[in-house]
Formats: sequence, C-alpha cells, structure tokens
Amino acid sequence: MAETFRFHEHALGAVSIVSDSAVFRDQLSDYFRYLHRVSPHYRGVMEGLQRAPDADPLDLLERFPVTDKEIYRNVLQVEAMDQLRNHSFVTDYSSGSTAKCVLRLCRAADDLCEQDVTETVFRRIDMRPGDHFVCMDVGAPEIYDFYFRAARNLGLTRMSYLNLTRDYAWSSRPLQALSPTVLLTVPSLLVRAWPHVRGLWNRGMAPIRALVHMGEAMHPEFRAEVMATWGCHVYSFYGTTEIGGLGANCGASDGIHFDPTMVVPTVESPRWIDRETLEGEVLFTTLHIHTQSVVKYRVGDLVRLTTAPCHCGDPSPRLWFRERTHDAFVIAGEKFRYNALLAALQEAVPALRLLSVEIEDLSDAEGHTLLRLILTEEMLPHREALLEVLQVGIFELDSIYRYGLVRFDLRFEPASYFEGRKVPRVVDRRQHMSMPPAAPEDERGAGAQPRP
Amino acid sequence: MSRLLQAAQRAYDRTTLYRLLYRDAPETEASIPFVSHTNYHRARGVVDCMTGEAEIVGAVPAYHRNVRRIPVNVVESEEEWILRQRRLVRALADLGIAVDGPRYSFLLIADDASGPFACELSKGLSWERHQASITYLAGSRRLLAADLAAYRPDIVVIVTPELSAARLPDCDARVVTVTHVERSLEPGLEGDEFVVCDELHVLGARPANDGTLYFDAAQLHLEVDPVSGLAAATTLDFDCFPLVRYSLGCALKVAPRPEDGSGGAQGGQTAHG
Repeated sequence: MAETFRFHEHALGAVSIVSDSAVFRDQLSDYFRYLHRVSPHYRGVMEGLQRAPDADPLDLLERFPVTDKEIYRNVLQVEAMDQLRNHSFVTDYSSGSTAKCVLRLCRAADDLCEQDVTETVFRRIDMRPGDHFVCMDVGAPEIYDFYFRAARNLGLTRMSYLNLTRDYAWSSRPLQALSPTVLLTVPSLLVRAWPHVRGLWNRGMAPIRALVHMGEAMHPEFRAEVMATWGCHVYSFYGTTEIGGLGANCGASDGIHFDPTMVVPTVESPRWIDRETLEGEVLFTTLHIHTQSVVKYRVGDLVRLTTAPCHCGDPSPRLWFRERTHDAFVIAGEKFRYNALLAALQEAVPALRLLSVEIEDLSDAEGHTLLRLILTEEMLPHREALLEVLQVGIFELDSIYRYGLVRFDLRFEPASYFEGRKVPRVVDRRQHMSMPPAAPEDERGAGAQPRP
Repeated sequence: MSRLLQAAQRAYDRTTLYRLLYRDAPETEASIPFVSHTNYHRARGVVDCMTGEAEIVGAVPAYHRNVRRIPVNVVESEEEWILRQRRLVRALADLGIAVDGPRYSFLLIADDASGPFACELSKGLSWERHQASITYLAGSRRLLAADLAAYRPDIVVIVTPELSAARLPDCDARVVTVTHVERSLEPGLEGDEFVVCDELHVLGARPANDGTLYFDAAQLHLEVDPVSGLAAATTLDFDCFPLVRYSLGCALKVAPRPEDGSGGAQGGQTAHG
C-alpha cells in the first residue's frame, strides 16, 4: 500500500508534510542521528537547542533554525570536503549568494539518489524505450549527461545534447532532423530559439511528445503557445542544486509531485487555503542526501503545497511555485540574485550604494539580452571597473557574456533619481520572461525550477 | 632556481602529501623524487593533496567516470581551470584548428563512462565559441549514423574508447580522437588525437602521422623518469592541487611548442622508454 502524507502542525505554528508510518519516523530519527555524527555544525545546533539527536524528530525539526545559502557555502561545504576525505565525489554548482559559486559535493550514493529522483520524474512523463531524448542548452552539459544516465536506465538508446550558441538559427538547425520525442530545455533559451524552431513541423504535428523544462519558470502564455504549436505535453522538473531534483508534474495536474520520504517541506508561517492546501515560504530538509545534507534549507521560493488527491491517482503531495522571496532574474537559464550582483560590484567599488537593474530583449545579432545598470552619477569614474566586474567577475554571468548572450549598459542618473520614489531593484522587460503575479487557484501555473 | 624546483618546494611547503613524500624540502632538482599514484596512499584524503590557499571551483572528471588511479578527486581552482582551458586551446592549435578562426560545429561521441569527461571538453570548446554537442553511444551504429547526419558536424571528436575512427559511420567531418595516455602505445594510429589523462584532462595534442605529443610548456613540465622510462608531469603554476614529477604511467614522445622555450622537455625530446 502506498504511503500517505499529511500536514503536521508543529507546536510553534510551522507546518511540515510528513507520513504517519513508523518507517518514516525512524527515518527522520536516523537522519538527525546521522547529522549529529557527521556534521559539527548541526551537532552544535542540537546542543544549542539542548536536544539530543534521538529526541522526538518532529519536535527537533520544528526547533531547528533555517539553513541559508551562507551556511551552505561557508560551513557545510567545508564539512563535506572533510567528510569526503576518502571518497570519490563529483561536484555540482550554482550561482552563490555572492558572485562566487556554491559547490555541492556528491559521493556515489548521493549521485544515485539524484538518479532515483530523476528516473521517477522521467517515468512520470512516460519516458520509455524507443524514445529519442534530446537536451538543449548553451552550457551545463554535465546536467544532461546525468539525465541521460537516468534515461539509459529506463531503456532509452538514443540521446544527445544539442549545444546552442548565440547564433540560435544556426545552432538549433539539427533539431528538425533529430526529431526527438522528448525534449528537455530551459525556458529562457527556448523563448530565444522559438522563432527558429517553432515552424519546424506542421502545427500540432511535432514529433516531440513531451517538452520538459527545468531551471526556471515557464511563462503561462508561452507554455500554451508551445503546447498548441508542437502538440506536446509540457512538464516542469523542479529542483535546486542544494536539494537536488524534487519532482515533476504528471499529465493530470501541473503541480509538482514529490516524495516527502526524501525531501520534507516545512512552511513556517503558512496561509491555509483549505484543509489540504496551504501557501508560504518553503524550507526543505533533505533526508536522502548523505553529503552536505540540509535541514530546513531556504531556497527562496514561495509555494503552494497540497495533500489533496491528484486525478492521476498518485498519493504523493504536490507543490506549485508562486514567486521568489528575493529579487532575481534569469539570463540564458542562469539565475542571478540582485544582492549577489550588488555585492560583487561593491567589492570593486565600495562606495556603490544605489543600483537598479533593467533587462531588455536585443536582437540575436545584437547579443540577445541587454543588462542595464542604473547608477548614480558619482559612479561615472568607476565605469570601467564596474563593466569589468560584469564581464569577468561574476560566476556564470562571465560565461554568458563570453558566449555572447548578454550585453551590458551603464546609465548614470542624478542621486535624486533614487530619492523619494520606489525604484524597483529589477525590471525585466523581456517577452515571456517577466512572470505574472501568482495565478489564482484554478489557474495554477507551471512550477518554477531553480536550476538543478 | 628552476621552475620545476620552485614547484616542488611550493608543493612541499603547502601540502601535507608532498611533505610526507619528501620529508625534507627539496634543494636541487636531483633531490625531487619521481612519484606516482601509488604514493597517494599516504594521503588521508583530498585535503592532504591540496594547498588550501585557493578556492575550489570544481573537480576534474576522470576519463572513465568510475575509474581513477589516485584514490582522491583532483580538485581545481579557477586559475587551474584557466590553465586547463589554455591546454585545450593549445591542443586545438597544434591540430591546426585556429582559435581565432571560424567557429566550428563539433560533435563529441561519448558513452556512459566517458560522459562527464566529454562534458568538460564540450564546455571548453563552447568557451571558445564553438558549438560542441554530444551524442551518446548507447544504441546501434544506425542510430549513430542518424545523429551524424542530423548534426552535420565540421569536426567529430571520438571520446569513447568503444569507437575508433576506422569504425565511424561515413561522414564528411574531420575526426579527432581522444586518447588516454594509458592507451597511447601506438601513437598516430587514430589520426589526430587529443592526449588526455585523468589528473589533467587534456594534456596536449598529437597530430596524425607525427607520433609526438605537443604540449604547453609554459605551464606544464613533461620529462622522462630515467629509471622507469615513463613520462612524468609537473604543473608549474598550480595553486590548489599540485602534481610534481607525477608519473603518467606511460612512455610518450613529447615536444613543447617551439615558441615556449622555457621549461618542460626540450624540443623533440623523446620521453619513451
């Protein structure tokens, strides 16, 4: 019998999704005992809470403080390196809270549990032997190499990574002859490639049966256009570098099915929609990760969670992305936080205080995306230093600049520009990139996918 | 002081492993021992092999993702990543693929085991603004032929050891083969080659019908261990994970590019037993 899940209201008001099974409770207890043994940081947390690792695990979970990106990078990453002294490992990375990268170190078992999640997602979208699987991106082929491993384990024999370049028309050329049945890509890249690939097949007759998107949200209008033009299902694969892949939607719902025996979500200040559904900022606890595991990790997403049954019959709970809790933007599939951008610029020019970011579409020939910084006039003498930071000083933005997918512009305004008015930190004017406000319940949008 | 000796002294000063191996700081080149993966049993883990001074940006994937001779990961700093990229650029140039020339469409042919290695190669080629797609050898020769027809690459790079240039389905593309140093006993048989190893990724290039490994002597010192006759590598500009007189486990005929001058083996020097 499949395990069922429910909301557990902690004594102090937070809510987690848990199972009542004895196995789950044991699993949670084992997890805290494991952390107490391997992580000096989390051992210190438990000591600070005056709780033993074999205390009531749900009580312990509630009392645990939030783990943020700084702790992940500055503490848990160092601990993982020590923990992996004698293990072989692979690294995954994402943009950090500063301009430097955040590494996730994975040993073999971590890699396999990631693959387990990925295979579950691929089965959910009905990937099967005989499918032709193509992944399309400007970089990060190692992510797709991993996905191909999962696909091979499901019996697929044909798969390839199509490397897009700034010349989308030229580089997307092979897609028509490849004629994949499953295409996995990043929405912001598909938006840019769309003029060149939308007409490859007659309307509604594309060989592509399933389009899987990851890394970011897909604009609902664009999603509808892709579905109508190609005649395919669109699935979203939600995950982050730190928690790994979480899950994907099924054919009957656009909520992300996930398994709380692997990743437990906690919402500290929930807003209840009904008895089975709530919204709030989500924190994740990764029971399935052995190295650099996290308790109540803040990914920075406001989500909706439900334990209501899905029409597909799968009893697992579902998640919908609502919006981010921080100002951020995506270029060519890579996420950038406003605060990280500001911190990197301030490292070069400490006097920098006021900054607004505008993002606009450019033509393919002009470089695809214009990232404009609006600064005060006193920053004018630092123009070259600031441009250099943008070009080579920010992890992942440097690659995108190198690939020719972004251009930079600096605009200097009198200080009064920023006074007495609420200047938005980030203004995204690109087509299909500025997400509309959270959709009402009956128009649940596809999930947003921080890049795995 | 030679750059080799400088590298050895820095490795001694900054890593636990080389301190354990050398016992005393090397004073002359003659006092620097040749080491191999065998000696890495002394490392209690990767931390002992690192300087701890540079921020790690990743790990270098081995040619076969499940097989590595040394028992720890080779991690790298950003500076070491830049040096790795320069080795690739140099290797491309040594095969006559100009970096400042036209942008090519590469198709890399990998398999399950060589996938991560191929991904790093793809990223390096993309960094030079080439298109570098990857197809996987998981099905039949017919499927590979179909992918070659669809991608229509200018250059095919055979990464997987399961395929040779001779067995490649018909295509008009130029072919470059990735050859692991341990498989390079008969150089030149595969045509143009990237010669690679698990610790350094791309080591250099070996043009067809030449048999000589050309490499970037500005950053890499390749020499012959006079006792074993095997080639040994030293990373002259390391800041995170040093290799000093580290045996590549094979005999190689090596030559730095003429304009490099300093460091490394002398032009045309033979490093095979």
